[in-house]
Amino acid sequence: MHALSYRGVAKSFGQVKAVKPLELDIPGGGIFGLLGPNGAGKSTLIRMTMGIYLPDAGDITVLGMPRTQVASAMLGYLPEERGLYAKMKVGELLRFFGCLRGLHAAEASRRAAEGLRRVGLEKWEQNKVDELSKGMQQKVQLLVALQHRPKIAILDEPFSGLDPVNAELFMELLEEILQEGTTVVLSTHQMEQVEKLCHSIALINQGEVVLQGDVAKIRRDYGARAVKVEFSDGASLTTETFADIAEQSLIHPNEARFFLRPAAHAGKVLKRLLDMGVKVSRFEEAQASMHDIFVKVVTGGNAHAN
Amino acid sequence: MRTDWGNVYAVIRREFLERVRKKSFLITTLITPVIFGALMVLPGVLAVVQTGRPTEVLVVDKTGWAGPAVLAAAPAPRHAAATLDGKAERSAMGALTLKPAPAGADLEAIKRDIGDGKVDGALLLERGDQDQLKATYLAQNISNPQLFQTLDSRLNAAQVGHRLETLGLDPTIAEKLKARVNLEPVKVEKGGRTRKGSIMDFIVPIALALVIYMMIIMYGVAIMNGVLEEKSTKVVEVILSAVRPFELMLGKIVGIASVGLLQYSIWFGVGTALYLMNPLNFQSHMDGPPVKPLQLALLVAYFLLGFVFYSSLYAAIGACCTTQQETQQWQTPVTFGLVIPFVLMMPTLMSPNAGWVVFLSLFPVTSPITMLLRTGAVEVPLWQLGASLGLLALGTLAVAWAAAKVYRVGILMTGKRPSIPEVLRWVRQA
Repeated sequence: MHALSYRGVAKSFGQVKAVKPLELDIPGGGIFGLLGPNGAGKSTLIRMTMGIYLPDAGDITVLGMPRTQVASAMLGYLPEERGLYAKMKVGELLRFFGCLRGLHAAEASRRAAEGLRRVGLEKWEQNKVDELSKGMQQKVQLLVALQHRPKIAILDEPFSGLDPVNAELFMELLEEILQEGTTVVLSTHQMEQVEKLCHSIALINQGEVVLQGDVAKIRRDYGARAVKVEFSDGASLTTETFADIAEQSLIHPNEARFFLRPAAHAGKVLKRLLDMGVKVSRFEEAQASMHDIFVKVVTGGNAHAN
Repeated sequence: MRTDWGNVYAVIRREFLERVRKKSFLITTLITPVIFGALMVLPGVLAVVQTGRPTEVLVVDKTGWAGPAVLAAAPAPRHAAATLDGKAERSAMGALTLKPAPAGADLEAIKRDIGDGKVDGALLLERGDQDQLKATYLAQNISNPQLFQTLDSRLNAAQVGHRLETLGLDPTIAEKLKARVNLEPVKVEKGGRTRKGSIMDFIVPIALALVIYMMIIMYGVAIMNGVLEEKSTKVVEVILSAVRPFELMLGKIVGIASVGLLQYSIWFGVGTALYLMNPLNFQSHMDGPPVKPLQLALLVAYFLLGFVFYSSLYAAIGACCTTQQETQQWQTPVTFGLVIPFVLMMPTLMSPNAGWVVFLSLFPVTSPITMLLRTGAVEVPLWQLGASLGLLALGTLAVAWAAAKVYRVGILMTGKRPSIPEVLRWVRQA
């Protein structure tokens, strides 16, 4: 059964179509990457999933149930814009959100204490939120999203602003809830994380799903056709230079990446570079990174980074 | 989607506890009655307590008869000795001693003594036109109304006594002629029952209306700021992922209203205790308890409905704005609904059954305050009370319904403040 299914889901704000009728299935278990440039409609899709917005059309089902019948206890949410009640005591705050997520008072207290212990904040239970450092507040915010053990957790940029130690801690917490069978939907712009964590993704652009599927397969499909070059004296290079060979060229001052056309051969790229007098120091056929794929798909062809 | 009452309860609980536990709540709850009590009681107490020695006034008599008469005249106190007014009256009388000026004393010398502070004051008695007594008071301090009142009554008593004597009237008849008339207000209620009127008949309705006004303003604005805070700290996004906007708004209003009710109950309790303990003999000023049960019931009913009415509007304003400054412009027209009945308070109390007053006491925006003012002034027909409360209940439902829609859309908006037409469209669409 799918963790989340979207059937013809659409949402407009006035004239702006934030999400066009959209079909998407998010499989249960593991981490699913929800990718897309700023303003692509990700947040709107997430907010509809969390019941903050009602879709104009279409159906959202959560673990096979219509969205409107889903208990809030099943969902956890870490929004991109972090926010907590600054003047509330940390323990009280966690209990409050626990109760909103369907926990009974006693259980909410127990979970709050346990969660704070897990992230090393047990001494701060009686402190007000605004007495905590930013990193500590991030931990509390993550506890708010996960303490009630949701079946589905939607985390928007969970690692932004974290130091490496806390990033590791967050990673461990993610591992723990994954062990318990929670499905994590991760929205992020950090493509290395997507490569590291996600089994499958959907890429959203201009309110539509433009790419979806298994990460390894997507990288294979794109990767076989990518070339990475390092060079000097490449000032004369332009995207047009390679238009006949590459579907897309990403040209930087000392480095370039080319996504080859179906019939093109990697050797052609090298030959042309040498013909133009460019001093090539490194040349490799590379598996496309999610970063490249993201840029390629979103810009729809040619991107020039000069 | 059904309303999840568990969520509503969680929000009510948070709003209530967070506010009641604050030090500022404790402080305002304790300090306000102290300040109010002091404002009401202190002037009376200060009037009773003698401050310093009595003022000594020399009587300089140029008429030959008035000096002894003024010295002899001691008007009977108008109030019973046990009452607060009686005590104040006796205290005022005791605060003045009159002494005849030494025979042949020079007025200029006395003036110099007054200027040097050796003598407090002098009362100069001269013959005026048509046998009228002309009196002049000379002193450094001429801004003591109590002293003037005492001197005034003595002078008049002396003059009347002197006239009656020159007319050759029998002193017993003269005594009768001097008797004053006291006008006593008597309030007639339904069925012809009467009771003694008092200053409380005037004060109580104003006080009740003021209570409603203060509660709505204080706690309505607290709701608006609470909404604004949730919006500006972004916490609202997490909350709305678990709670429907309506549940959040309802919980907020009920939670904060409970804080207000708790605070006013404490004050009411303190007031009742003071009344029953009867320090300074308050009860003698009143004919029965100052607030009737019906008034109290109306106060609670109008507070609850009026509070929901206005705080829904305040919540919607909070949801539409992103900064405190922005809320100011929107608050003003809302506050008008509460201020107008106060501006019209005196005409309302003077003609409580005029057509426009009846209208204002039925119209939901102004009814909480105008109706409370009216009930203090006259017996409002039951049908009008019912209609007023019914209309207010309907108005409150309509406003809360529309406000919930505006709140729902506005709470997630950032950036530009919406225009009025936009807000109206949210009401129609959402």
